[in-house]
Amino acid sequence: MSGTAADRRPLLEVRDLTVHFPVRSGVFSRVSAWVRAVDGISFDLAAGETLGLVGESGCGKTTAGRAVLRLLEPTSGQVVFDGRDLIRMNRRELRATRPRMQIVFQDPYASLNPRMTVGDIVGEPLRAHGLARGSEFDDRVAALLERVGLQASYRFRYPHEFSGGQRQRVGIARALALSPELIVCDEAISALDVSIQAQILNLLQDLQDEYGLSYLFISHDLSVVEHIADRVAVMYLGQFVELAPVAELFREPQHPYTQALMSANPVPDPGARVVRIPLEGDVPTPLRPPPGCRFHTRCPRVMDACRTHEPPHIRTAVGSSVHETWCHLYAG
Amino acid sequence: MSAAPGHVVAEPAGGPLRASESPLQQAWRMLRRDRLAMAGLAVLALLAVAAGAGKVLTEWYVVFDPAAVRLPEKLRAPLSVADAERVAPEDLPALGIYLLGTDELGRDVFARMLQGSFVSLSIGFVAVGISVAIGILIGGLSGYYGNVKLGFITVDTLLMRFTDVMLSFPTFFLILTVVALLPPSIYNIMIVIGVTSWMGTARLVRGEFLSLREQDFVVAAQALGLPERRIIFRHMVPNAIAPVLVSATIGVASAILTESALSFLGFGVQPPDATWGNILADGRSFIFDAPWLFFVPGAAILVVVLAFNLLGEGLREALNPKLRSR
Amino acid sequence: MGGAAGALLEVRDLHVSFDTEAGAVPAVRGVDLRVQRGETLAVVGESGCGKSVTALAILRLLDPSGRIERGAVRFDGQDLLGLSEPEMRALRGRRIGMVFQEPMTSLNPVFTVGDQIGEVLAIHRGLGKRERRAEAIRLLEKVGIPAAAERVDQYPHEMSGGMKQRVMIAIAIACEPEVLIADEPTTALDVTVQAQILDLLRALQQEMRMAIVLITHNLGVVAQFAQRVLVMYAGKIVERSDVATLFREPLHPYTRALLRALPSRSAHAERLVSIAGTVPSPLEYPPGCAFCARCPDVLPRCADDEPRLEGVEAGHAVACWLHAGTGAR
Repeated sequence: MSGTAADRRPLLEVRDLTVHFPVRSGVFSRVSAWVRAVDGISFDLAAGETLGLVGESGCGKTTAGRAVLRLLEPTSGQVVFDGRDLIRMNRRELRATRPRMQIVFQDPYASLNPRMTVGDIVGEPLRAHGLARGSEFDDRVAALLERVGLQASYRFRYPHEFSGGQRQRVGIARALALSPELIVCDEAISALDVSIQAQILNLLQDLQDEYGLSYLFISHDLSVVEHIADRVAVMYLGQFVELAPVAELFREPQHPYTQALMSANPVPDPGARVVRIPLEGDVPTPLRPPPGCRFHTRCPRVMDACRTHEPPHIRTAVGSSVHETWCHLYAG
Repeated sequence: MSAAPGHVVAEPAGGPLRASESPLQQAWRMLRRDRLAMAGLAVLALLAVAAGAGKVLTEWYVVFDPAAVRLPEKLRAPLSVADAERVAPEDLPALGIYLLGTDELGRDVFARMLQGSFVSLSIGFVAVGISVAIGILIGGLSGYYGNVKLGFITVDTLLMRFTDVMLSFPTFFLILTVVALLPPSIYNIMIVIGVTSWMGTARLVRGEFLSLREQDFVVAAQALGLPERRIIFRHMVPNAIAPVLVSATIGVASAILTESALSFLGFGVQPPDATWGNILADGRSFIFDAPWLFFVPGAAILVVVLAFNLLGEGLREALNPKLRSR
Repeated sequence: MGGAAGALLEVRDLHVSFDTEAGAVPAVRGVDLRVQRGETLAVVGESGCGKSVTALAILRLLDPSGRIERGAVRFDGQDLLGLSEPEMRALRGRRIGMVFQEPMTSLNPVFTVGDQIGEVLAIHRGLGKRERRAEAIRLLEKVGIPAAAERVDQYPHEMSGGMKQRVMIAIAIACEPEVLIADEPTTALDVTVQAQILDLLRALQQEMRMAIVLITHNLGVVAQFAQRVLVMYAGKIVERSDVATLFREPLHPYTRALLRALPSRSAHAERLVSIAGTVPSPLEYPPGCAFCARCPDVLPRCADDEPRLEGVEAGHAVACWLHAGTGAR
């Protein structure tokens, strides 16, 4: 599906997206430092495509997902959605664009308002945007619930009466209510048990096939991303280290961090003897990211240049797509 | 470790088989099982009836006259029968009995307590209403629009430092000073107590709003492009209200105490209007001759304050989702 | 199967229930397990299956609402359920170590990590102040914390999640326990840190010949780390096997479905085989097999007749009517 999509203009073009959070202190809450959560990431997402965004906790992937939807204000950069830059939109324009892009969250307990019935939760967007009322409203809510595999009669029940997987379905139904083109899945299946994960993954894939949705699929789980994504971006300390089509990335990971991440992923096969690339130490704080390549403090193949110079952006053509790496190893 | 029972109850919800129950119904079910809280609620219901009846029967259809002075009948003990020969027929108490005795002017203590219960209770509720309204407004502004800049400081900093300043006043002396300057009417007392007791609520609401703003369902509402009004009033306020309700319940008790203390010191509601505080104050000179003058209002204040506190504690348990199975 | 004499820790027919609003809820319904010296036994299952409760029951650390209804827990010949609380305390942390999921909350924030390691050393090994500090530094070095001599004076909030879990492990192994019970020790950690922690546990195990009971939901961790595995569902063991056999030839329909539901074991973008429905509520366990309502291969008798855990071949047992009587005992 990404083959045809590449000819057209991508649905989403993100350029140099940067999000810095102020750290405040003192009586008058002066800004004393900046957390560089996302530091200049760029990518495209075609209609109907799934881009996986992987990285460990604190790498900025969740912040990136929310900044793309402008649920928090980026410090700089562009997010061009269907030809228009979201960052420059005023509130009214943004509100009018919101229905076209939605989000599904990790925690099925925190993502639903405990004081509203499931029917109200799913129907609220329809009502707020004046899309349906009366019996048509009821029909739409029933259809949405059924589409995600819940009985329409559940609409009068409250979230606390449902299991984690069922709540996640409600969250998906709410996201679908406004017929979006893009859904950011922020660790959408991480809190679920394996068998329930499979149900939700299948549901997401069915919905994509049916409505041509684009997903920005944020996850820490490499196996899940390998399964669902068309292309994968690997993030470390606020920046991309590698971005490639999924098969290519898993066959031939280039960046030492990607390699380490893959070797650390426990394969559910006792026979598989993975050569582990051990990583030393911990992720540095995003308050003071290391100079040069941010990974150099832990990289098993670190060179002198890595400590002082920003890594080059290496692009290699792979079929109709591109394998991008930010690493000194592949320079020149 | 405490996750152990959660493991059992959390996931296998199986599917909603039980009858649907809203969070409010659920809280009510929890509350109903708390005997102490229900006892408190019963006392308060009784008090509410008494206060309503007090208003009606002492001012509109005067069955119990709190103002009638019967000097010959002063300091009669509770349950003593009125002497029809010494008192004018229009001044005879209802049923001809002084249920709770009489005071040093021969006024019927029961009638005065009835009148006072309405005054005390309405001071408690109105004062808390004012303090909760200010608290929600300031706390809500601070929590939701906290990051908006006003010159060199943020809204949050400004409002919270103001709250700190208010908190650092010794409230009771502030009230005393203000009351000494203003005419001592019941309305002024309500307002003064309300305006000096909102700080706790403001901090509470700010904290709730700050954490709610990060909650996924609020972010989801923003992503859906819902209007800000709706996000605040539909998604945030209902979820922030539980702790406010708890503190308001306890706040009513402390407002009643404050009013009693003020009246006791003579700065509160002025005679001939009765409140529990000034009945108590009048009674203190006769503590050995007529102990009921002291004990009746004292016990009433004690029981009511206790009832509010028990109910407040019960509400805290019932409304706290962490204590419930999800 | 190894003789009873060889088992260091043995649990027989363990039943645990919790008192709730709705009455007594069964959480563990007849679990048997044995661990030998130096081996790693994984207990795997989804949330609510009773795996953590089993671990807590072995340690007698259940919440007040939890109750061991019946069963036996024997450790090195002693009946743990018959011990007094002081005797049990003397055993916990000294001969039986434990590591829990949340490194963030398992450490006391107001003491330095050195103090917290030292506490165990003082109680169980009676070391003096100076010896405690030296030993704490040695233990921190052993669990791979760099600059241990400085780290020993730090507070938990100055450390990352992986570091804290290393400290927890240092505390757990301070007395060289014979068994280590690890309840989801890596679940809260990132994969690269998880790999470090598992490597560490493996190295410590080899050095100290410690038995490890690993409670986890992660089949990848099981495959890479354990020798034998118990699969739990709805409070019961449905399959018991060595790890290689389980992943090569799972027998119970639940195990099979669980393995097929793993995204890493199916091709890209292929539909995953999911298990329909959800786990039954503990209040509504059927009289027969608890998996029968979701089982693709259900037989008429499954709903009413409870299958027993039966050996199918050496070291491989399954509780399922499909395989009943096929065992070459």
